[in-house]
Amino acid sequence: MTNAEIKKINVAHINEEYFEFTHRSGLKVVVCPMKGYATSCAFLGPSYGSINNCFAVPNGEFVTVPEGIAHFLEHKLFESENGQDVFELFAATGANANAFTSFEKTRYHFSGTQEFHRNLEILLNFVTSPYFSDENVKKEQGIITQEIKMYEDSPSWQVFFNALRAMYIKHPVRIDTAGEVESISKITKDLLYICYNSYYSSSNMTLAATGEVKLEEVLSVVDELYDGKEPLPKPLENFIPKEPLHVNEQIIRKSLPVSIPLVDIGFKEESLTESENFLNRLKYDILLNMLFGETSELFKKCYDDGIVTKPFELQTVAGNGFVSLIIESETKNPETLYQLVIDEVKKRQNGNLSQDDFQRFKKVALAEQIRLWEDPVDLASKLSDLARLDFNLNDILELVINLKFEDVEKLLDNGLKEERSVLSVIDCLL
Amino acid sequence: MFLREKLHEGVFFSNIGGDKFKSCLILVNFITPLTEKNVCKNAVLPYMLRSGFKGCPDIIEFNKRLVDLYDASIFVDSQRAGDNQVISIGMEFISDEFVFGEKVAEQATKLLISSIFDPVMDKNNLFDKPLFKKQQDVLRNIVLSKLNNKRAYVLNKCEEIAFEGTNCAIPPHGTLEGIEELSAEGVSENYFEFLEHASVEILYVGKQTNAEITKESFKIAFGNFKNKDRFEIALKTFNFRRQLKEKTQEMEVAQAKLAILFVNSALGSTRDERSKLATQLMVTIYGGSPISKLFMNVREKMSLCYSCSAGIDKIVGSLCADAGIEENNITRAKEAILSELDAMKEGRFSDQDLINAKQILRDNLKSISDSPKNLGTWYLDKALDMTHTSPEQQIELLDQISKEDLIRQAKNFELTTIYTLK
Repeated sequence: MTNAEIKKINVAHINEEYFEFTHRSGLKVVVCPMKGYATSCAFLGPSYGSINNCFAVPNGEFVTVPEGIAHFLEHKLFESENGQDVFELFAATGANANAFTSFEKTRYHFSGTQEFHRNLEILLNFVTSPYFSDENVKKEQGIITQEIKMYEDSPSWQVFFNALRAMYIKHPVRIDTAGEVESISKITKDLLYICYNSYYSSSNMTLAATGEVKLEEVLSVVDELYDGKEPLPKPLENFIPKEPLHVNEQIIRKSLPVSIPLVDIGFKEESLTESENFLNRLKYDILLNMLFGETSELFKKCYDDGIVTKPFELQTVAGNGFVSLIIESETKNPETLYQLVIDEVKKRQNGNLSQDDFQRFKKVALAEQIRLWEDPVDLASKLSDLARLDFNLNDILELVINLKFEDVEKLLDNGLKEERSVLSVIDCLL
Repeated sequence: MFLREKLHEGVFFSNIGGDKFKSCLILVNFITPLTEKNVCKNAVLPYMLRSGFKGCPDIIEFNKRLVDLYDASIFVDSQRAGDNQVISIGMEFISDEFVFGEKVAEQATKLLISSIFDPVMDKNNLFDKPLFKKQQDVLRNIVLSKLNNKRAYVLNKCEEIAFEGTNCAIPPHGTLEGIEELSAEGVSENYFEFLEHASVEILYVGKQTNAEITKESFKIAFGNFKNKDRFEIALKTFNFRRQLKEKTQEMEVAQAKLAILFVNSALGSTRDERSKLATQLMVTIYGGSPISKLFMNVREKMSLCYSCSAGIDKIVGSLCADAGIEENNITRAKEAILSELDAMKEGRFSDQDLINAKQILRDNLKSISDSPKNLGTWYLDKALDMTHTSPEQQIELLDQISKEDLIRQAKNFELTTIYTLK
């Protein structure tokens, strides 16, 4: 039995409910049974991503590890000491398994329609049983080098990371998630164990299970696999350098074989606490849509004038120590588009946003919360993100419902400064 | 559930169920022969229709109406299915019970129908010229952007070479030259041809309370175009080139890309579900899963690449393997990919491989019922290969398939094309 207090979260607006608790090992667990679904799925992983390259080890000293090591570690956990590949174990039940690493987290996940109990055991077992050797590290360097080269050929990946590099001077969000060929060549099995032992402790991990799942079943597997594991005596200390507000460089360009230039226009915003940044992301998303979305005056002008032929892709990138807004598009006129974006922001600041647009995009934010329940995989991913920062779905729904026009107006008036904007362009090499 | 009903000659409405979902998906698919003459005229149409309708001719106002319906989204595409072109116009929206008493379903369905049947045309039934020019630009940029994703680019190029001489080689969005030749008059004329003569498959996934009214709405809408000779889908054997053709394209890329294509034309013309399923199981073991031979050997053991996989096109009967590798490893990767297919042909895979592949496929098939999009894709595919079988029926078939069935299917594939980008 666990010594956890199980909390039922009633999401009244959507007529759904789910459960959350902290296991005595410190593992945060969320369980959401979904009626009528055949699929069950689970996401497990630590608050550990590509920005966590400097941290305190047990003797209190800070160590700096090679860029891309969190992602490397994610790859390596799929191998076990007895040589059994984790994918083979999942294949025996038919489940589909994978993992990913982002700026602040690593997630291992599966989805399947058969043998949930067994799948969950496999997931918890392999994530808690690292096995690194000189040989398997060397082999992975070859595979990840090819992954990095694949990203080098991806214009959308390059334009995005270049925008971050143009905006950020010290913050590790400017580093490519997979690292560089040179940095991953410095990774050793010992460094992997140091990272694993620091970040994969149960109190730094989150588990979310959704779909055809039962609370009791999850409890029993967690009890079995996390038996004897203890929470960290004190929170893990990460070192994230303090980032100045100004940008690194205003314009960054690269040439690749593309037929139309690809453009990211970025605004570097002031960062608050990680939780505040997380919640503000929702407000920034609404603001971005109001200014540049498919119904905006700017999009109409760009579309009518032939500057763009499809809607802008809008994104708020926010986390521990960073908040940035990205507007992405294909255009033959990068500089013109950049100037139009800057002019539009200035025009809308100080009382020129539309209330109608605000109400419109509040509906979009609400719809997004409802659509989450369509897919057990999306829901598990979201619940695991929320639990990591001690939020639940009602917190988000209430935030959307109670959001005021003034909240969004304030973000615009205090942010989106021209001097903190950047233009990243992938020019045509052909 | 799955209920396919004929609304008019060549116009079918399939209710796929989906009461458990919180949103609704309506997918209208027009199927016509893929020809050089018509490919661009057809491909530009959904973008014209997506731009508004007579009652709302401005795209921004049209977008506002969609967003006001809790972010209802309309999406369009042009795809190739064998030597047919499938033009899809779909709508997805949140079910009424979650949107504070608003009538989203009714309004969203009306918007979809208006955009298909009441486009912005003048009294002479000609599309608005500026609107046409705009959508010609949209289509041109779609074609130009295909170069951005190098993997997809190489796979497309490999197929074009493998299928040359047949209409399967025509890119579903057309070519730049074809797009330049489009005219508002030609596209307008084609629009009516298209409504009258394309085979139509309408798919509905969502709350059953709205299924009947949606069906009736489309029955009325297509009523003006009934009693027309509509295109009939037929399964075919394609006469693809059997000799090996290799092509290398040079481009400034960080990583070389390799695509290797095999054909088994008989697969495209068969209605034998067992052969198709056996082929799919064979490909799951060969390159269609993380336990496949390509993943486990070419990636994990040889450490040659990050991605190495294979997929099939059951309608034309092709199997294509691809990898991203260092330029100096192209020959090693090529040999390994070919040798792994030889191993399949010679039966050098274990009983456990087959058991695992069946489990993976069984799981994939079972999970289709949990996604409106996957249900839509499944039943469209089944309309295109004329079987109309459900995922459950395929699951039942799985147990009947033996190792020998897989070997037989593997042996039917002949190497015809190798495409390299470096």
